[in-house]
Amino acid sequence: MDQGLVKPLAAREQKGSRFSRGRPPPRERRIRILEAKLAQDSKGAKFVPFVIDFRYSGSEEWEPDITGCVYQGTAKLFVKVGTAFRPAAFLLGKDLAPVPGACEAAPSES
Amino acid sequence: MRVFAGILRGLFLAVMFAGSAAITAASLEYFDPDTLAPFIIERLPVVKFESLWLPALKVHVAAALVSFPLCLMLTMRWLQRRPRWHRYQGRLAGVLVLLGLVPSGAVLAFDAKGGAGVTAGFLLSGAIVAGCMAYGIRAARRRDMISHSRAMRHVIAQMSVAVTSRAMLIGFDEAGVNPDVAYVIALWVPVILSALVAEAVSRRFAFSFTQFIHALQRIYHGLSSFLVLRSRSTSGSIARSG
Repeated sequence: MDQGLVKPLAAREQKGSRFSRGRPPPRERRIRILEAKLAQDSKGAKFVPFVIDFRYSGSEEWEPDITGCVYQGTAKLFVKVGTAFRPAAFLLGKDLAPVPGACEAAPSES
Repeated sequence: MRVFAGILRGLFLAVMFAGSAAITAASLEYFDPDTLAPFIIERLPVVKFESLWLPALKVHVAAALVSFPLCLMLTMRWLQRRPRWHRYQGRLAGVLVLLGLVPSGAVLAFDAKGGAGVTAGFLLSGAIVAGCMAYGIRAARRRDMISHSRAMRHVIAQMSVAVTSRAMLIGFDEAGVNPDVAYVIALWVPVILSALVAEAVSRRFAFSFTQFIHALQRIYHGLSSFLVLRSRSTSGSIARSG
C-alpha cells in the first residue's frame, strides 16, 4: 500500500504546482487496516479493506481520506471514488473505470 | 505621488503577469488527454453533472488563460496610445470573458468546494465581471472613457482574485490554517477587497480628473478675462490717441 499508493501519491503532489485550487498536499498520511481477517469477494478473491488518514500542517487530528482494499497475493489496490471502487492508479491520474464487485464482500454462507 | 502610483501600478502588473503565467503552467494538465489532474480527481466524485462540469472547467480555464493577460495588456499605456489595437484586443477579451469565462464560471460555481458560501462568492465575482464588462463596452462605444476605465478596473480587479486567492491559499497552508476555512476566506477577502480597491482608485482618478478640468476652466476664464481686459484697454488707448 505504501509503495503502490501512498508514496507515488506523495511524489505526484510534490511534483505538482501549489498555485492551484486543488487541496494542499497533506503533511502526513497513515494507513489503517480495518479488518484483522481477510474478506472474500463474489469471485472468491481475498482482500483486506483499509483507510488512509491524513493530517494537514498545523493540525494534530487525523482525518479519513482514502477508503480502499488490497487483494491478497496480487497486491491489487482499489480505492473508493464516489460510490464505486476503481483501481488505485486512478488517484495517480489514470482515467480508470470502476470495477464492479471490487472490495465487496460476498454474503457469508451459513 | 504620481511616481508612487506608477510604481504600484507596475508592481501590480508584474505580479499579475507572473501569477497568470503560474496559473497557466499549473492548468496545462487539464488538457492532457492521458492524465487526470489532481483537482479533477478531487472534484469529479462530488460534482452533480460530470458531463457538464468537465467541459465547463476546460472552457473556463482556457478562456481565463487567454483573457486575463489580454486584459492586463489593455491597461498598459503603450497599447492605450494605439486605439485601434486597443479596440481589437478589447473586443477579443470582451468576447472571451462574456461568452466563455463568465458562463462556464457560473456552471463551476454551483459545484465549488466549500458549499453555498463559496458558490455565492464565485457568482458575485462573476456578476461583477459580466456587469462591468458589458457596462465598460457600452461606455467605450459612446466615448465615455472615464466610465470605461472605471468598469474595466473592476473587471481586472475581479480577475486578479485568481492570483491573490491562490497566493492566500498557499499562505494559509504554510500557516497551518484548516484548508476548508482557508478556502472560504481566500475567496471572499480578495473579492471584496479587489472591488473596494478598484472603486477607490477610480474615485481618486475621477476626483483628479474633475480637479484637472476645473483647473483648465479657471485658466481658460482667467486668460479670457485677461485678454478681454487687455483688448478693451488697447482699444481705449487707441481711441484716446486717435
